[in-house]
Amino acid sequence: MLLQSIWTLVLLACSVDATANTYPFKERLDLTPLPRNNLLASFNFELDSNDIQLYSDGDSISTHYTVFPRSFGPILKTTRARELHLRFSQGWWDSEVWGSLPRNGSTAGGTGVEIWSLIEADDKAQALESWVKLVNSLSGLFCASFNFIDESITTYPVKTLQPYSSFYQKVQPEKQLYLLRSALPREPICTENLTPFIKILPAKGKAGISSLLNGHKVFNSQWSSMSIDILTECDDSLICNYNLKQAIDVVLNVPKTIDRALNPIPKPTPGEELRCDQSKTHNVFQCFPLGEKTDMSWDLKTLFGTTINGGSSISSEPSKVCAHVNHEHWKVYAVTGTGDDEKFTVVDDCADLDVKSTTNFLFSTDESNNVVALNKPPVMTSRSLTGHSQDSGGFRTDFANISEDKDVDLVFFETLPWFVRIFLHTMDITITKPDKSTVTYSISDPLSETVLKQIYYSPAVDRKAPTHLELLLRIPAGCSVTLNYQFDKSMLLYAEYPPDANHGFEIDPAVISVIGEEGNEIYHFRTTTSLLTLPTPDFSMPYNVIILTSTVMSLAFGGIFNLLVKRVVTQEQADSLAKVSPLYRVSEKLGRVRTRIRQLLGRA
Amino acid sequence: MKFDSKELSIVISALVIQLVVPSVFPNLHKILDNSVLFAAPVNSFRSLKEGIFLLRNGLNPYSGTIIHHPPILVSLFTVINENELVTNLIYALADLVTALNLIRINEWFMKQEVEASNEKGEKIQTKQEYFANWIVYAWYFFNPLGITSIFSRSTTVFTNMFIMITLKSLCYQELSVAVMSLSVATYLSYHPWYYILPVVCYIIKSKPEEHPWKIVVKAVGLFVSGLFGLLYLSFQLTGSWQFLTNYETIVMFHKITPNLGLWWYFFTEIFQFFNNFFVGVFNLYTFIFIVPFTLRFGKTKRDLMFALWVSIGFVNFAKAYPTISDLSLFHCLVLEWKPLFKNLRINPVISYMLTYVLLALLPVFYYVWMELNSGNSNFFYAIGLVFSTVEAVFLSDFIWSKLCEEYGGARRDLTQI
Repeated sequence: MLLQSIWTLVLLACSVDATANTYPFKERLDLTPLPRNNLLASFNFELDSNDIQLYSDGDSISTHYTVFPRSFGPILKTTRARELHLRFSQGWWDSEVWGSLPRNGSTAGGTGVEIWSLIEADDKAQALESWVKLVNSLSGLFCASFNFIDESITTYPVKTLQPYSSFYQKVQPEKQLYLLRSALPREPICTENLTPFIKILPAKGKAGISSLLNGHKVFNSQWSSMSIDILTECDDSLICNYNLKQAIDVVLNVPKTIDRALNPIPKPTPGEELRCDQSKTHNVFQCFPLGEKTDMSWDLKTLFGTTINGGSSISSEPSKVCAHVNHEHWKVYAVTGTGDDEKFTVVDDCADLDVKSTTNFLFSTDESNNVVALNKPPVMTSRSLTGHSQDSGGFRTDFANISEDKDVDLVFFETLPWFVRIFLHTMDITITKPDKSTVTYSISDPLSETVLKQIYYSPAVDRKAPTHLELLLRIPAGCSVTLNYQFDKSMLLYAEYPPDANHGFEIDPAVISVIGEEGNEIYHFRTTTSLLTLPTPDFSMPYNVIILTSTVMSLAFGGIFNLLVKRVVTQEQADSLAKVSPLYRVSEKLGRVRTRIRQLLGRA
Repeated sequence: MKFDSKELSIVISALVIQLVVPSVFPNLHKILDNSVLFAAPVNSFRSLKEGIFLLRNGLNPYSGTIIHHPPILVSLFTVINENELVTNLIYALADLVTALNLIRINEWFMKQEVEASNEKGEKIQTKQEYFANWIVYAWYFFNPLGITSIFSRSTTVFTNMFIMITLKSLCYQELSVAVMSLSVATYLSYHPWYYILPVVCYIIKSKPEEHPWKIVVKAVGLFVSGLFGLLYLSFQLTGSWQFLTNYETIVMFHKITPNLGLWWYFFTEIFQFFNNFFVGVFNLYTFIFIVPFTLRFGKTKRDLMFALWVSIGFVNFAKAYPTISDLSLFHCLVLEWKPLFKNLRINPVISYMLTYVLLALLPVFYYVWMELNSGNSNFFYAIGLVFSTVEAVFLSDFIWSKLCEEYGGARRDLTQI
């Protein structure tokens, strides 16, 4: 009896402990239908570490991390990284249809992998050393090729991607702060990158909204972006802790995703299921297809292959799922439980997840294109390569300000690999006014300053530093601005070409930060990557080239040397000269010896 | 300087062409400058303009590795302020100065011959041994090599001018001018320092009364101090020694761009492990014949001129970034060796036809490689290799002819005995 009561007590204590002990962790899922039957799913996670000692050796004080991932703490500490930002993205965000990026682009990356960090160090060299250490540690952690980052692709942004943690604002650091940034545009983003993302969450994808994250679904999307931002946050008494924000944004095309879920092996649509245009000829042989259906109903389980497995039990507030829909045309239901216990609740805005039961969300609409009003991005940009030669080329970047009355200030940040030798003096700026009239200024023209406010340029150093270009631009209201500049491409050494050299080299996406009225960055986005072809040698030729070049060189040498050591004389002179040369005497002696030997032999 | 009517008409028409053509076709220099035959990273006008742009915007042009022009040149062009007409005028003037010096050299050769024949009491008809001034002018001004290098605005034009001044000053005993202008040429494009050796020997020859070591010390001292003066001025202009990377680029062949020479494909393809070794070998190869030429052709002043000329030719053949402008200097002097023409094994008309055909083929194969992608680098390389071979054969043919001349001289001496 006593034993039983003790057991009850223990169990009770445990359960109390389990429910009452919450950690600084929050999670939230935003579901926003986008036009053309797309769905934007934004997963947000935020967690804090315990208080940390910024300037101690670390061994003396044992650090307890609770929900903050254990793997990050020591790395950040040894490299003195005060801010760390990681971006893994693929696909292209169609801002003309989908509007502005989620969270104003602050968590979106360009194609490939991007990383930047605020590092405290004595000098630039030490900062670079810590940076290399940092990226190498993260390389293993995230299964990404961060280890290929070196000084030749690292830049030090001046105006864009600026630090914003409270550490940066409040604390007077002991050493200098350096902001370093690198991107790997060629990196394919795949399931192995998602797995570590889920692993660093407290629930590890077993419960809460992270249970929806499945590599097959995330990466079969139109666009996906994963981000991690670690900041050092300090209060006024300078007690600091790490704050980690993790976001995964996915744009799924709903009909495509459902189709794939229902027919994993693609099959032609049967004739009776084809949607034909009734106003035109349609029979067994002819069908003019209609556009996609706009009255639809679907649920998260079909899209993600699973329901949400309860809410997170350790988070400081309940896990939330929010639907941003136009309620005139959309209905959203939360479905909890399964089978007979299935319970439908109408969701107006947000729903807290029940910790115990699984939850599914059901969306139904009669007009799927009628979504919540989308924010327009402040500026549209596209960048493309110009020229058709392998040895030179150019970049053309278009900026369009769609607002009719507001100028937009922005920072255009571009890095180019060292083998691209840009000629900044060839840059010209074309302004297209709303009435389609155009005016072109060369960069040396003082009038170009109406658009080009400021330039930060650090030229490339062979194999040491990339070209780093930051332009502060003002795009006048209703105008579009085109930047054009030319560059040469140098050849690389044989071993510097990647295995598939004729594929070309990816150039980092340019980063565009729109500057608000207070001078802070209010909107970020990236252009697409560009594929640059370099002149390639014939890779099968090394021996031939070495042999042929050396032959010509030695022919020239031999020919000229032969002539130089010659002296042109007459026959008589040659004979008389030969008689006095020591060589002649030696050979004559040898000849005499030879005849003697012959005579001797002949006699024998 | 006196001109007869023929010379004057040639000079004026050349100047008119040089000023009018670039004004009528303002994009001509850009087109030529984009061609690897005219522009190497170390002498392209586009890169010079980038340097001017950076300098004007308060950036150090040498903090990156885009600009490889010496700072004084960049600063001088900054003063011009990118005025097209003034730029054309400067190139035309440089060309004119080169031509005038060339004519003076031609006159010196004629005079030498007359003196030599007077000494020997023979009557050699100078007019047949040497070309008239107007022919030399025409050959210089209307030679496609020269005129296109002016139109491409390659900065090697200035190096050529200074080397030409050196040669002319040597002829006319303006010895300190010769050494100084050689140091300017060295400052502009590194390689001319090789020629200090034949130049010093020439000075020793022309001043038999002075002790050779004294001359060596004086000449080398003047050369080195001139060079260091220019370098120090550059340091003052840019505020750092970073501009020295220009010369490092030339010596170490940091920028691999296809060109007329032998280096580029070799260093693209060579295994990285041997890279430094072969950079050393190739640099040695470029220098290797300077001493032998000077020793072998060191008897008379005329011989030393020949040594200088073949040195220029061999360095063009063997250096890292040869362009057509370099060839122009070598080939404009070829007329001074008319006496050697008769002993050439290959008729100069044929070798020039070969040279021009190959120079016309080179851009074609470059285009096929870079633009059409229907050929690869081997096409361009192969033609470049043939071109280099022709250059080497041309050079050794002249050396052969010189030896024949010596033989002729020897025969003459013998018959006198």
